[in-house]
Amino acid sequence: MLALLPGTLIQTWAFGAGVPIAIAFTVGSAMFLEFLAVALRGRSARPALCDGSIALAAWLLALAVPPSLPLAQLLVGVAAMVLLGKHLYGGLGCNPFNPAMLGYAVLLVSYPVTMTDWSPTAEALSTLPWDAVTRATPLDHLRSLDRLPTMDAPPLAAGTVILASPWPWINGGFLLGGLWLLFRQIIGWHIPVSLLLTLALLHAVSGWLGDTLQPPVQLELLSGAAMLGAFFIATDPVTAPSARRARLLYGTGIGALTFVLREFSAYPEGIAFAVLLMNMTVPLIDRLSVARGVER
Amino acid sequence: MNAVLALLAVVLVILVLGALLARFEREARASAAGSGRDSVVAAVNALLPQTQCAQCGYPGCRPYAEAVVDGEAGIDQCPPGGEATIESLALLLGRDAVPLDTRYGTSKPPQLALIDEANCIGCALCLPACPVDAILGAHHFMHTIIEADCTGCELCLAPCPTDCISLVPRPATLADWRWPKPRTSAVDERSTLAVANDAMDGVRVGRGSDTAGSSGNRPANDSGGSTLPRVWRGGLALARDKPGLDTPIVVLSPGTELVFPLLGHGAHELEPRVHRGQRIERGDSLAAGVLASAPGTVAEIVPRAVPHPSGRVAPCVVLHVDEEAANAPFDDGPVLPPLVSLDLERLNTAGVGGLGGAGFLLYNKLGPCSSAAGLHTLIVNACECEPGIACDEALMIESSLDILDGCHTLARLLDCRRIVLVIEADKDSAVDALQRAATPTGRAVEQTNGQRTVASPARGNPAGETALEIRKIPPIYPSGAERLTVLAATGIRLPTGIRPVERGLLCVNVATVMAAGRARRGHAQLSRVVTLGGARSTRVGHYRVAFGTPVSHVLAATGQATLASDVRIRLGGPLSGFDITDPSVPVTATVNRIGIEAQRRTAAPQPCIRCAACSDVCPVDLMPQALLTHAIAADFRELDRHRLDSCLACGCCDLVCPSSIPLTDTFRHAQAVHRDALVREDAARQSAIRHERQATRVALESSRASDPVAEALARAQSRRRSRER
Repeated sequence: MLALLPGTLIQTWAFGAGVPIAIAFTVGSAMFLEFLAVALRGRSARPALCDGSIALAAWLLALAVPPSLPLAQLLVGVAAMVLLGKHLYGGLGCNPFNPAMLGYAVLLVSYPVTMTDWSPTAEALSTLPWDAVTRATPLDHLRSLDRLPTMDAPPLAAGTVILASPWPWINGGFLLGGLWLLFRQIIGWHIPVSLLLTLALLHAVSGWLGDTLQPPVQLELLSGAAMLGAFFIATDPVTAPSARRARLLYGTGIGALTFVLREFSAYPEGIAFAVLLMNMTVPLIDRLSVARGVER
Repeated sequence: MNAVLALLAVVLVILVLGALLARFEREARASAAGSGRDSVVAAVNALLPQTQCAQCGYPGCRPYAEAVVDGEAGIDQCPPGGEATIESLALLLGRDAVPLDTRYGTSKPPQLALIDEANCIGCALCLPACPVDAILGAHHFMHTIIEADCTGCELCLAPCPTDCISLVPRPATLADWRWPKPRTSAVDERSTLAVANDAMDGVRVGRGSDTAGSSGNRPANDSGGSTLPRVWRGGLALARDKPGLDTPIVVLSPGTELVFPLLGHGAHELEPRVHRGQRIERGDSLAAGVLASAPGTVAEIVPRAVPHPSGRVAPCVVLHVDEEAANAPFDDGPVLPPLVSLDLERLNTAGVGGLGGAGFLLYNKLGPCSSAAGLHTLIVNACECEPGIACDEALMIESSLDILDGCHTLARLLDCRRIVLVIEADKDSAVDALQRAATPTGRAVEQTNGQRTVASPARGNPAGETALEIRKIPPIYPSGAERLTVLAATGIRLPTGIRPVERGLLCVNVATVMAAGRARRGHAQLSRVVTLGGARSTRVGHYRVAFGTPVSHVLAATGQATLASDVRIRLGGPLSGFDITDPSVPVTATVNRIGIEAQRRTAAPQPCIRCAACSDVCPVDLMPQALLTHAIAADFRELDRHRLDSCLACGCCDLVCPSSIPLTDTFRHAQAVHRDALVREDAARQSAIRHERQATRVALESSRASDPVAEALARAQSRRRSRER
């Protein structure tokens, strides 16, 4: 959880106090719901609460949703995450779907308006002459530009659009945290590397195939939830395959599906659904790596 | 354009997943029972215990199998098969596993029929009743049951007119004991959140002096602090814990009573060669491979506690030691005349072998190569990878000359081209001692560091003398396992089930090598060096203990006669040893350490989070996370696919598991159950064969014409005709 701090701090700076409030709320309500669920199942509460798994998932969920999301809706997401995503399947270690992503998906589908409202903080707004601002995320913006017929004024270069937003910095923060996790050997390299490589490759190829609206690959990688997803979400050991070769395939699949969803779907960010889709395939691809053991 | 690319990406993902599905479906279909009623009946029959007892209501196991397949019978009708058979039938046929239907009988423990010979009248009525022909006898001759073939089906009880047949439970021996199934999940318990790995007696994972918590339990994919290259993946770099090396080895007295278990390898019982009251000299053979380590008289031959994880008793020869020998330090002098060169017979008489932990007698190890032909490399295993044990290291520091003599003696006997001594890089003083011992006598010592070979000039090397290579390896646990030592020494990967001797290699513990050398000079192997240690031990050091000395005597002789109430005694190391409750257990060849430890806190196992830390450290490249799931489900086909038979039971996975799951114990249990299942299947197969032979014979007899004499004549005539042709 320490590794989440750099990215979290940057996100807080960009989007205001809503971020830590959301985190505190999700963690608190998640722990409470976890305690309730565990007690209802007749298990002892201390190990379940002290292992930190649900707190981490709650933190990730809080980072994934816009800070302006009403708390009531956030509670729905937390409940989905704890109850549907974890305890329905048997608790720690038994869930096939990433709980944070499940919560996020439920929220995204149930409350599409509030879930896509990434407005900047009031301080940032005060420099502008308008009373109110609505703004899409850069990926959203790029997509809408892509679909409109060409106007007289040339659209801003995609790179500028992204750079003007705080997203590269947020992703940079999570990248730092993720690299630290790798260094401490808390996560393995297979999933993040394969995920980011695939994503970069696909973006590079699509950019090369001649779409001027495509930002450079590095910025694509640094946008949305790419880094958070690559290092913190996809590497969840319970829902990822446990075999090495299978993990590479898993990361590649997530990268590919993320690209597809970014380009093709109505949703701005594809990582959440990509992760959930690949979670479904984990039992199958885990069979890829059988113990080599000692040959007969 | 992007759409096309996106589409391509999706199609690619679908194709890959589809290919995987197709491959595994093909695999699954190939391994399932073939189509056709007959093959299904055969598969069901193979799962039945083949007692042919008819308790299920059908006249044999095959008719019952046919009824099950045809849907006429349920799978819960076989009492001898019990719950295990019901479960495997349920798995095969895709039905629900229901409890045994007690209308057909109850499951009983394995039993044997016994004929009371005083009452048997030789009527031969029981012979045709036995479905597997396990009764031997004829009219007016005594009948007897063939123990190995009797399935306990009880069909012979009814025909007997004198009721002289009864059923007795099969006698349980130490070899019947199986590792118990450990608890792999915390069930409804308010357990303390104990520190993970506290059950491992304080074994620390780290590099050098770095003691680590759970985040530091990382696979030793580096060389554990040394610069030597790794030959095999996995294992753990454990902090060096070799107590008692600063004091010399003390020779203990044997004490007044010595206990010699009559157990061979694999815990099978041996026949004693002595009787009560017999006078024994030092070095006399008490049973095959068991030698008396002090002079005395045989007091009795009774079951006593033995050093075995089950805590059970086994038949032992109890020796009452002579006064003078009992209180004097153990006499390790020669008992046999010295030989010019070692021969296999001397290895046998001197009882050499088994000091490495597995307890193989060297003579038996050479087994198929008793002619010693075909062996080209002698590998001396001087690795002592487990923390807490340092007896081999102490031996090397003190008796390096004897060890070298042993190496060369053994190599000469086996006509080996190479002698490789494998030792860990952090045993500096031992390596120094060995090198110092080697060079003055002019025997060339080549020290190989990784790939480079630095040869030192041989001074006056006698012709034909094989050079001893000392190969240093990184100090990773469990580098002392035979398979891994062979790999480090020669680069040869032994397949499972293949012994090193079958590939021309002999891997022997360094203390055993020394014993071989001393055997040539007339010394029998009657003692071993034992490390005394443990967190709660007041004395730490190395002691030479005569075989048969009770642990209680060793403790008393080292000032620890009375132990605190909250300690436990552990034989062997923290990872591969076992606790004992009875301190009268004797020290035998496999007891390398006596540890006094605090009572352990067992952490409650949490669910597996599939972090794969265990598969990262497995020295034989297994996937403990998969093995765990399949072991709990008792799915032996999957366990076989994941190579459970290769598991070394080293304990590395236990050390790194963040959920404190007792993986090694689970695998030991699963291996034992699997072995049992194979033995049962084999026995069932034999019973089925006997039954079929009987059925054929009965059918032939009943279809024969009425006159047996005429038939015999006809047979003789046809034989004569065929001879004339």
